[in-house]
Amino acid sequence: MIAKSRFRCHRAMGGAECQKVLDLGCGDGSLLKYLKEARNAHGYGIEIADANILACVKKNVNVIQMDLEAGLSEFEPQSFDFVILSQTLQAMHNIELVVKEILRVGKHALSPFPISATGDAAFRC
Amino acid sequence: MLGHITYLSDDVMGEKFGRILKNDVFQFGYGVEFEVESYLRYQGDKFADSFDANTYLLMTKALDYFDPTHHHRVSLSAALQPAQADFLVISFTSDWRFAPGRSREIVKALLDNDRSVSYAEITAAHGHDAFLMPDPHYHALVRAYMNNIRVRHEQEAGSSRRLDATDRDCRRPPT
Repeated sequence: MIAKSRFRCHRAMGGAECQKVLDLGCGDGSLLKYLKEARNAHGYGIEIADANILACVKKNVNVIQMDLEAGLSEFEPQSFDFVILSQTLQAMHNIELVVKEILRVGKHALSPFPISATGDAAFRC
Repeated sequence: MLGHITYLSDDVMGEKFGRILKNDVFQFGYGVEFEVESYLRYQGDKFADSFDANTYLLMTKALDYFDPTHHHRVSLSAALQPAQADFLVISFTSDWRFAPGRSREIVKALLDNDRSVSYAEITAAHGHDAFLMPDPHYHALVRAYMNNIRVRHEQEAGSSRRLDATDRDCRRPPT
């Protein structure tokens, strides 16, 4: 499922190279590492779990440890080409604030989330 | 002793001493009555024997004067704009000397400049002294970050050696 989500994020980002990306709830940093290598994308991940912070640092992926539910005050308006909230929205409590913050800091927003019984991901840009 | 307290944390002081009295009843005097007073007095005497008090005054002034934005009268983001390095910023949740909030200001200034930065907030009970404790997560993070630096240097050294070899090949007269 993660590979499929990664492919869809890749496809949805279009053809442009060197995009600036913010991955919210970036897990172990796989998507950002992939986007850096495949697309030369520059970006940051946001994570809260210690183990994932370590996994990102090991992968040489920039990661900021903070609680998404408190908003994205560290980031300036429209400072990212893409904000990705992959497989994370369904786990949030303060969804309205998170979505507003995504739209504030990003020019485009991607939020694939599980919707069907097969674990496939619906996709909205 | 105020300085010493800032190296510790509220939790640790509470756990270690709380409001425990040396004797069971209040003495209503100015002597040492609480265990924490006894501890601080002991540490104070130890510090006074080991260090010149002027050192503390001087260091306190140095800390007061430290302001990376002072010379340019600009924001922290503007002050860090010339920075070229990659950054790993780590704070400890119970550190009230270098509080996580201050570290996040640094992180924000680096993000404003698109610098390569990672930030970790280590859950720790030991206050400012936490960085001296053998915290496995903190050590693993620093180790992983330093290891990446080593790998990058080795790769760069390898590629420059390869470049040297290519240069030599190019200079070699055609046979």
